[in-house]
Amino acid sequence: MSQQRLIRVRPTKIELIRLKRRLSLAKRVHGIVKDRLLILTMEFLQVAKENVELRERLVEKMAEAYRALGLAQGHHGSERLDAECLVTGRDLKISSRTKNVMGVRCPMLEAEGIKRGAAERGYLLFDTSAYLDEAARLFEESLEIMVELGELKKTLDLLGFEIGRAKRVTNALEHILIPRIMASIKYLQMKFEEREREEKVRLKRLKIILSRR
Amino acid sequence: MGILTASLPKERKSLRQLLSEDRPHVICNDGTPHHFKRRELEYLANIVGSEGAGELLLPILIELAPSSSEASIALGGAELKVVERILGMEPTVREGRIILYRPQVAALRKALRTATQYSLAARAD
Repeated sequence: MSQQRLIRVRPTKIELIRLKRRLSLAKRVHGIVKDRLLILTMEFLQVAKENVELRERLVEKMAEAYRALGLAQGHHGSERLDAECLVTGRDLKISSRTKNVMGVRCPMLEAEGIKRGAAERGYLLFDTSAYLDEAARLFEESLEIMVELGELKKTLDLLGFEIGRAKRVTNALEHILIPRIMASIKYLQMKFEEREREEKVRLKRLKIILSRR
Repeated sequence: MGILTASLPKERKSLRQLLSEDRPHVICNDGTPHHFKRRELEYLANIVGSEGAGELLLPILIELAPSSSEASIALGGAELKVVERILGMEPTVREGRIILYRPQVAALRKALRTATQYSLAARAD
């Protein structure tokens, strides 16, 4: 094992007391950061699991939607379908806010009015078939899942970043700061013991000299 | 140290109050807003009804002790009803707190991602 680097302090009792206080604080902080890391990891795993589930749901929904679109295309023909779709275009209103997860500010996306009734979509109902309604409904549902997935993905990124940061802090405390303080305390204690021994020898020597006179 | 309490709300609001807001949110200790999903609030309103909406304070704080496998929620106005409905079972109540196990916490967080928040239980040492 390599020799532990020491904190440069003057070898005085007050410094020893200071170091002991610093050590107890470092240990407490280490415990708290580790607890936070545990909770963040728990949350990360939950979000990751949800992310996978949602992705699978999206893939299924998109497959269904494209199947329905294929049927609508077969029924109406591509050109007619393109013409009908032109009038259904619109801007989506997605509001982005934040939520706080153990000190990590994560996005919270809320889409408003993605799902519409058949009459609100803009194409002529009497001129189109139920195949088109079904395809539009499925695509709207897919879009809702996409927004939710986007939120989860970003949350996952932010949590991952924070976990990395918390891990670095924990490791720095565990492997650098705490051992360094402990080594410094040990060094100071040894120094004081050495001084005590020197003092004892000096007194003995003095006693012998005095007794000889 | 402050980062641990940063995510906790300065003041919790009742479900009724949040439902009446245009952008339902509470202010956290670090001064940032924590927003609620309207969908979750409406779901909670469905569970607790109009009387419970005034009693249920949000966000619901899930107190975790990393050294233990249990988490807990302080028993307030309508928390028990909410937990019961989401978990589909009657949870353990001990010393005025609802006791939850890790999988139950996960289920609760999944259903109420913005309406619940974690808080860290103080260590004994």
